[in-house]
Amino acid sequence: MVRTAPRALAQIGRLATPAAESLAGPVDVKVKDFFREVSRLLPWTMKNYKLDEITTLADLRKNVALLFRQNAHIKDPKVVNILIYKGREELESVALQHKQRHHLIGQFVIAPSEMRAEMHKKRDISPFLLRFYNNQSAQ
Amino acid sequence: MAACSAAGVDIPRFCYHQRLSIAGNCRMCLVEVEKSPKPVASCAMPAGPGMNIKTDTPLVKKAREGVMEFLLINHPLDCPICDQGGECDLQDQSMHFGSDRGRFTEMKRSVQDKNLGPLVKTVMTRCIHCTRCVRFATEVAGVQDLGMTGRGNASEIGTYVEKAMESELSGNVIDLCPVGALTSKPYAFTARNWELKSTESVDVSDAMGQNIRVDSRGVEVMRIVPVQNDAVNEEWISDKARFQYDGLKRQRLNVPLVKGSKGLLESATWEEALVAAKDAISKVKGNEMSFIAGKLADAESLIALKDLANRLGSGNLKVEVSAPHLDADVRSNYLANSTISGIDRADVILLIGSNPRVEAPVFNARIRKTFLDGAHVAMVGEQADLTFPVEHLGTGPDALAAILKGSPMLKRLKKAQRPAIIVGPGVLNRPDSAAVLQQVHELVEKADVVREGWNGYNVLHDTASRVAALDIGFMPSARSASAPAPKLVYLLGSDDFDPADVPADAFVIYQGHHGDNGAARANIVLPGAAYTEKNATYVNFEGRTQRTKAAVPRVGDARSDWSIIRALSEVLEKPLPYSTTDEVRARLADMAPHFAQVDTVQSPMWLNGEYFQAFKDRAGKAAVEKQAFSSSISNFFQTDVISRTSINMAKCVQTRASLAHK
Repeated sequence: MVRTAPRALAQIGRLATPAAESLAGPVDVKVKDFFREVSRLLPWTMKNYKLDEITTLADLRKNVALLFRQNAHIKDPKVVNILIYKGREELESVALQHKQRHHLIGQFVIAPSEMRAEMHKKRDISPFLLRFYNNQSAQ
Repeated sequence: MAACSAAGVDIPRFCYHQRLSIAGNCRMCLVEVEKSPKPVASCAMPAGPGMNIKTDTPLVKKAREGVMEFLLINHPLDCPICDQGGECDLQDQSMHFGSDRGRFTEMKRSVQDKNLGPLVKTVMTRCIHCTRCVRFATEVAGVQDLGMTGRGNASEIGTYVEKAMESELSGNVIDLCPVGALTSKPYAFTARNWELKSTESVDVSDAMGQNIRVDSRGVEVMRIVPVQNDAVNEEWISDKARFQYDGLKRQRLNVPLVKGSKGLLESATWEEALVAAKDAISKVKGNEMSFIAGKLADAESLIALKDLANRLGSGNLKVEVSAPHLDADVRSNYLANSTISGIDRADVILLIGSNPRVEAPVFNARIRKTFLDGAHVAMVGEQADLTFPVEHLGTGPDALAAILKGSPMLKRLKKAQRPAIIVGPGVLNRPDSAAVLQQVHELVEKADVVREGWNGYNVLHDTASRVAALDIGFMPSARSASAPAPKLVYLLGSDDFDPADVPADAFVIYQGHHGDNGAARANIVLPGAAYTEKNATYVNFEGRTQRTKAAVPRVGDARSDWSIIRALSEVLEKPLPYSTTDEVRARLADMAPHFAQVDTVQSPMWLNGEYFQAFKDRAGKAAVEKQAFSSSISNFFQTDVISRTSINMAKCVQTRASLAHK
């Protein structure tokens, strides 16, 4: 039996949406709404998964935003709807604690930071400047 | 006692201190000497031939135990609330040598605390009357403020009338006090010594490069104490070096700032700030940029900024409050060639335009020591109390000319074995310094101050960055004389810049660690590190290369200084060829080999006055003005951004002002 905090359950109840989302309505509003839903669950996630040991709420939100932005180029409403649906699945498994701590760390802490490093590389930044921007000491 | 410690036997002591006179009043160092009926105080007993000294006999142990018992009779049992707890000589030695129980049942005496000003806290009941502080004040600091009053059981250490200690070295009595009678007021009840992390570093509050130990807890500097270095500061440091650390917590710059559309500085990411700097720099020509370094700039960032400026096609480099006519051609021309410890051996000293008491108080104590050893000290410049009698020869260049014409002083310098001339910022910072320096050079030649095995020509600087800047050649290039008014000014920690150097319409980039004049004027602010937060190289006024060590992490999003310049160079697509600290230091060593030899002085070559000839030709017939040589420092306690933001220093200024009124 999964034991989940009553507050989180209530939140999931609010989140629960029919599987077949109607295609009506502007998608950008839906995406923003979904991002807000995710953001609302982040403080609880931080606390429940003890993520404050490795990151901060602001950073976690930035990382989630980065993952959203990865799909910024997708404009087709059908595809966007599917992405929102998959995202909600993901959110649900976090809220119900079907995911474990290391899943979250890998997915929302390590992967985004690697993505950032990759982005710097693409912009042809030297290792020195990359270390400088990331506040890693220059030896 | 010295003989015993040479033989490897440590004798307990309270009153004895190797740099102070011998008092012999604590009686802790009693030893047994063969053929002597009683135990002997080893600090006061000269060692003789054939003497047989025993330090570990039952008699000696008994004697120490007895002395300890007497000392503890009137010492309160307040170790748990005493700031000295954990580093207290009395505590340690009573554990080692004391008895296991006391026999004293009467009331302990209590003594009223004295007010010694904002730096030194007193709990006089704890005092064991070793008189180290009294001896320090009279012998080293040269102020007659402390003394012993009363007799026997009623004797007390104190100022005779209530009065703060009027010395720039007063903090040293805290280290000297073997018990908790004199402790640090700002440090009181803030930390225990065993929870502190110690980092040996170098001070930058003046040009002397005093060796310090930075004690920190977590991210905070809790206190600064001296480290013994006989060649530099012996074991003293100035009050500014010791107590300005609270300025490191206030008004710090912690994020890059860029002036927004509303004309206000707004926080930005490093990338945004550097790109904004790039946009500004790319709009102006090389010669329209000027670079001004501050008093606290380290050698690494100076070389990086110089290399960057040259790559951008600008030679308009400058150190603030500059000595405009010093050049970097000959190193012996801008160093203290006698070295700091060499001054001890001088027999005639002439100070020209220098007040070492405010420019480098620990150096002043050293000159005082030389004076007490019999040297004759004279000065030309505004009259000042140097804590010892000085022959005052006049205030301005006319007095210098009078010496040159032949005066008793000239004869004295000629006759002396090791004459020393110390030229201070009072000469260097004058607009007519070239002409005055020429007079000084003439005097050096005439009085034969530089001779076989002795170079008595000394320049005393007042800022920590000056010598390194000269070594690197961080100075205006030949072309910069014809440069137009700058459209872009890069301030490297410069807050005391001459307003004329920063025109009202110039774009200003400020890199530094405190929000002060520079940051207030800036369009872009790049937060750097203070001296306790970086591993950086400084050169003191005798040419000794020394390195600070990072004791605490940098504040917020700040970066170490040279790496900011390196990053900027890359954003400007003119990357500097070094990307690690070691590589910068290799570059420094390429530029000037002495940078590779830390903590040593390479005595520079003296060109037998040939340089003076060249100097003379260059200086031409510049007119000498009449005004007196005045020291560049009017307020000892507040000279740079750190000391200006320090509350401790502000309190000192207040106390001094109230003393002056009395």
